[in-house]
Formats: sequence, C-alpha cells, structure tokens
Amino acid sequence: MASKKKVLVALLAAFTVASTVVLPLSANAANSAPKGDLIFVRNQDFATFDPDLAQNDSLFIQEQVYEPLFSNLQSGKGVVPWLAKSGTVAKDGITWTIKLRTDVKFSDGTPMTSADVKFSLDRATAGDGWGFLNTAIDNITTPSADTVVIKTKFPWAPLLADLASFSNSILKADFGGKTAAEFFKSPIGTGPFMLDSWVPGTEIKLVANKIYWQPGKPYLNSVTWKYVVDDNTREFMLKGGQADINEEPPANSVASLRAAPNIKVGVFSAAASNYLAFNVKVPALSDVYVRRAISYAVDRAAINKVVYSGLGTVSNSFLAPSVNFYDKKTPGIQFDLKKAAAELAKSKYKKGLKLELLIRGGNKAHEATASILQASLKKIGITMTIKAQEPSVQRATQKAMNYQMTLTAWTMDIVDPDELLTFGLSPEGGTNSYYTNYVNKKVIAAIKKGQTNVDPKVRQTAYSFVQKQVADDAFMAFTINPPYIYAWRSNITGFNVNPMYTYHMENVKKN
Amino acid sequence: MLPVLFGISVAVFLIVHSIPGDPADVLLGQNATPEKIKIINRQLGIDRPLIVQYLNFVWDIFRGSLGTSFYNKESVTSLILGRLPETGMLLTGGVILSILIALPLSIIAASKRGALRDQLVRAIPIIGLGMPQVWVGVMLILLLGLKYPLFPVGGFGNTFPERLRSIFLPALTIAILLAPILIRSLRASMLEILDSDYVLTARAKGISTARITRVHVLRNAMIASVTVLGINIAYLVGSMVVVERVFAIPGTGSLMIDAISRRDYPIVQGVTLYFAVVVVIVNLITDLILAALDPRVVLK
Repeated sequence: MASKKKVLVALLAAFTVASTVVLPLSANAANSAPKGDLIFVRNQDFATFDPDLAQNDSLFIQEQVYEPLFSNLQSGKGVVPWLAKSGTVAKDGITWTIKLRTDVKFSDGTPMTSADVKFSLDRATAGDGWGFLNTAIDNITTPSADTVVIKTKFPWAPLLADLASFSNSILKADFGGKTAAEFFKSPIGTGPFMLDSWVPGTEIKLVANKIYWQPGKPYLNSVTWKYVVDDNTREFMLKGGQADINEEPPANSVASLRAAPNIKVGVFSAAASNYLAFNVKVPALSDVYVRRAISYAVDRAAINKVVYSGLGTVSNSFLAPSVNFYDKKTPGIQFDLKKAAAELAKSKYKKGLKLELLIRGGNKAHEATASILQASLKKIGITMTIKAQEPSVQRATQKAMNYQMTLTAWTMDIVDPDELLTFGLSPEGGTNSYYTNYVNKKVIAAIKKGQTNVDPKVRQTAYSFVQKQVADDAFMAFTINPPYIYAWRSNITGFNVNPMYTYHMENVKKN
Repeated sequence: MLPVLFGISVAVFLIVHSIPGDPADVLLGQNATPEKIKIINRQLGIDRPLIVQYLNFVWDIFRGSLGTSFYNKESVTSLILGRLPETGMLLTGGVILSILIALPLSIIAASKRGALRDQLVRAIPIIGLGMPQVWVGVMLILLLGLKYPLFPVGGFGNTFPERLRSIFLPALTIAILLAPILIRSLRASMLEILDSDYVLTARAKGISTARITRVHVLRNAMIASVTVLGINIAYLVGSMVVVERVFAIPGTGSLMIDAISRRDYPIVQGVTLYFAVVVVIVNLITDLILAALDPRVVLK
C-alpha cells in the first residue's frame, strides 16, 4: 500500500513538474509558429491583386502579400528601408543606388533579385493607374543581383516616398512565366501572407507565409477580410465575437463601442482632408472675396462635432497635419462670421447671392455638413441650395465641372506631399486643380521647386509658401481632417494604422 | 418567354447605359483623370457605339456568356452562379418558415370567426405589414444574435449546418413579412369555403372537422393562396437585397446593388436577366401547382 502511495506521489510530482516546466516550454515552441485566425469586417469589397489598379478596397490587403522597397514610418513623416537595405542619391541628384536585402524570398521559395525589382518598377511606371507617381524615373539598371540603379529625368526628392507606395510593390519578374491575368489570380509576393481563397463580393482569406523574411513573423495563421456593408451588422458581428476587427465603424458609434465589454477602439491620425471645393469659373466664385467669405463661414467645429463626434481636427491647410512638410503656422481661414461678412462686403456681391452645393445623396456626412454650411451662409446673405446626386453621378458632375460648390476629400498614399500637390494644384496632375479650374503660377513654380530639391529646408520653404498661398486664394475651404477609426476585440494586440491608412498584419497577434 | 427576356434585355441595357457615372471613374478612384478614364473606357469597350455594345451583349448570351465584370474581371455567369446557393436558401427558408407560421394560424383563426383567437390572428397582418424589413432584422439580431446568442449575427457560414444556422434569422425576417400576407389570404379563403354548400354537406354526412379542414377546406383555400405566394416570391426576389444587406448574406441582390453603384454594366445586365428568368420560372411553377390542386385548371 505504502509503495502504491509512493508511486502516486511520484506520478503527481512528475505531473506537476511537467505542468510547470514542460508545458510552458511547449507553449513557447508553439508561439513561434503562426496561430490564430483573425477576421476583419469591412464595408469595401476586395477587387484586385494588380497594384496598378488598387484603390482603398484592395491595397491594404495587397500590402500583406506584396511589399515595396521602402516602408512608411508609423508617424507618416518618412520611410525606412524594407525590401531594400539602403537607398542613396549621387551628387548629380539623379542617380539613386538601391541595395537590396539578400534574405528575401517570394512565397514560392525563389529569392528576390534586382531583376524582380526592375520588372516591377518598369511595369508600375507604365501603369495607367498609379504610373504618374513614377513619371520622374528615366531608366532602371541592375548592376548586380542585389543592386538597382534608378536614374531620374531631373532631381526628384519624393523618389524614396514613391518607392514606398503599394503601387511600386515587388512582383515576380515576368509574372513568374504566367500572364498578368493568371498571376493576379494566384499572386506571389514577399509579404507575410499568401492568398488562400477569394470569393468576390464575400471574403478574401490569406494564410501565413511560413518562409517570410522577418523571423518569427507573422504571428497569425490566417486573416480573412469579410465584406459586410451594413454599419450595424459589422458592429454586431464584432460585439458578438464573429469578427475580430471592424474597419471604419461610424464615428457616432464610437461611444457605444467603447462602452462594450472586450472591445477596443483606435482613433488613428490620418493623412486625410475634407474640402469644400469651389468651381472658380462660376462668375460669383471667381471673386476671391466671395470664396474667402464662404471659407470663413464654414463652422468647422460644428461639422467635426456632428459628423465625426469630435474625433477629427479642424483643418487649416491644404495638407493634413500628419503629412510631411505640413506647416502648422499656416494661418488658414477659420470660422468667423464677422470676417465672412467683411470679405463679402469687399466683393461684387455685397447684397448677397445665391449658390448651389452639390453633395452625395445618402451620404450622412455630406448632408450634415451641407445643413451646417447652409445655416451659416444664410447669416451673411448667401442663399445656398443643396443638390444631392448618387455618388458616382456626383463624381462625374464634379469632373465635368458642372457644379458651383461641392464636397470632396483626399487621402495620402505616400508620405511626401508631392502626390497631392501635383494632383491638386499643378497642370501635370491633369485635373484642373482637383476640378476647380484654379491656377496660380507662383504655386505651380513652388511645387516644382519642392519636387526637384532634396534639401528639406528648401522644400519646407516652398511647401509653406504653397500652403499659405492656396489658403489666401481660398480655391477650396479646408474643413476637417478626419481620423481613421477601427474597433477590435481586446484579445487582439499589435494592430496599428499609419496615417497612410495602411497596417502591418505581421505584427498582429490574437491571444 | 423569349420575347419577355428580349424586351427586358433592351430595357435594362438602355437604362444602365443612360444613367450618369463612369465605370472607369470607379475603377481609378481618386486619381482618375479624363485621360486615364478614356484609356480605361477603351479597354472596357464602352467607348463604342451603344448598338455595337448591345449586339456584343446579345452575341455573348447566344454563346452562353454574360460577359466579364469590369470591377473584378470575373465571369458574370460564375459570379451569379456563386451567389445562387445564398439567395436560393434564403428564399426557400423564408417561404417555408412563412408557410409554417401562416398555415396553423390561419386554421386557428378560421375555426371560429370573430372569436378572440380570430381577432388576435387578424391583428398579425396589420402589425407584420407595418414593420420595416430593416427594423425586423435588426431586432432579431439584437434578440437572438446578441442577447441570446443562438444564431450568427451575419454571414453565410462555410459548411451546410453552419449555413442552416446562418440563414435562420434572415429567413425568419422574410417569413415575418411574408406570413401576414398569406394569413390574410388563407383565412379569408377558408372562411369562404367553410360557408360553402359542399362543406355543409360534408358535415351533414358526419365527416370529422379535421378531415373536412384537411381535405376540403385547406386544399381549396390553398388555390388562391398559391397565386398570392407566387406573386410575392417574384416580388421578394427583387427586394431581398435589404435582408441580404442587414445579415451580410452575399446573395444576388447584394451583387446587383454593388454592381449598380460601381457601374459594372455586365453584372447589372446579367443579374436583371437572371431575375427575369427566375420570375418567369416561379410563375410557371405556380401554374403547375395550381393545376395540381385545381382540376378545373388545364395546362395548354
């Protein structure tokens, strides 16, 4: 009997030792392998694996499969080498030497080389979608397997920021022997995840790339993005545990989400801006005093409170505060009805005027902004009517410039302001200054100076001038810098969104 | 059927192409410039004359193809076929649940005209028809998805049992809206038949109430209700999008709405044709059931 007791005690002791020593060891071992299946819910449907055609619906997911040579800093104020080890410019200002990492493999096991980089960048430059970012690139050569030399047509300061764009992601050279269409159906990249399945209109699932070049990452076994249009349904799915991360819950649901158990809310700083755009070819709006009067009459704080539940920030510049070279000293035009009346008194329309605001029908943010603006303008003698159109019709009307005033927005894709400044203010952007017909030669010259000078001080001076001048000219009223809002279950860690609206899923864990 | 489909194809094609908005603009997003839009429109073939585009569309149909989606480059036929299980299960589930709700309640109501139970059942259509689909769906989610988490809040699941569970709440939402229409029709028909001479004769012959209800009343009452059900199923095919949206069911209704907002012409045209075919088939099935129930109906 005594011996049986001893055996039992010995077994218990062995079990205790096993429980306290061996099991944690095996858990540590398991931690090194990807684990956990994470589910996103979002109101956008993934459309394509072609980086040249990617929009917000697709690019965040593409970025988990493909990677660029450089990556945006979390602050949004610069880039760091990613698939590249370094990027340096020669004294001539036009020859850039990019050294590549030698430990990077595609998810099919083949190493990434300079041939893949040349193929990808040449394709991106020729692209109809985002090729405009690379217009400064003259040619690309590959002196060795880990070296790429990029020559630009003229000194081009935004180059490294451009190379950090998703549109310059590195694909397999010649699509790995497939056609483009075949390749984008089963894409191969260097990213932390690989395509597992994709059902258009329903969901897309990525699984861990087990030979990813960052040791120990990704932590998750899979990530699935489910397309759920209804805001309430996404919120219910998160609260009910059917989803782990909710992309873009409405701002007015943040309080309810924060009050819910096991839910965390992230309000991330965004390189995004909302604007009230003026068609400056409309006679009344060709008068700068009328534009300035309207800009002064925009009650930005009220819009922020009503539309974004106070989570955004009042805008004072064409550039958002999280964009590089944003100048916080730019005075901008802020809400002041006395100044608004004074500006109108200087115009040809002292006795008041009638204007029309074009908005997107069914868009609650547009409707609320329009109502606030309508009330303010009435106080200074401007009668504003509101015309709502279905979103794609509104865009078409705006681009055809058959409008007087409209609400528009911008989100940055690269850390350099050049993308927005060229698109929104320079004839090279091809949009007649974001469809406003505004032209200021001094502004265009300053943008050129900023593009072609790598000295940050010179660039800051140029971009500060641009910000002040376009605010004074009031070609648009800068209204709100909205945030990016995400909500997730509290067992999710490591989730961060940078001002360019992108996230690194390889850093995310599901505990 | 062919003239109907031809008429629908022409009407849909003209309506879709006459509304403002540009597929290339949707594809290119915020960076769309007039030059880029022109290039993409050429690639999509929508810079050609309308008549050429329509003839291409019809030629594709004769070849068994509905074209390719502008948005995700998938075959429209495979996109529609991929959504059929969702829509089919949702529709079938909704119809079955509505019959399961309507049948016993109608029998209970008609069993004694004017009694309390009849008054209570008669109130159901008034309440049921007054409730918006979205509200009913959200209330069911809050009650049976979150407060008492018996069913998933949204989505369609991957396995058949998961799908059955996923489909229950949306099907119940449809049933809550469809059952009142059936109750009103069934109750009225049953009361009318209960007053008929042949029911009186049957009672005089000593046939039990249960047998009279089953053989004489229900069968004859269903003749009118089958027509009502057929019309409403056809209506539901087009209006199920609300339920699909609320419960995140990726069915054909959602496919259609997304395609309209993206100006994805091939999908809009394809789904509309599919809806038209379904409505014609539902009408055909309704006629066949009527013929089976009513010997006076002759199929020619």
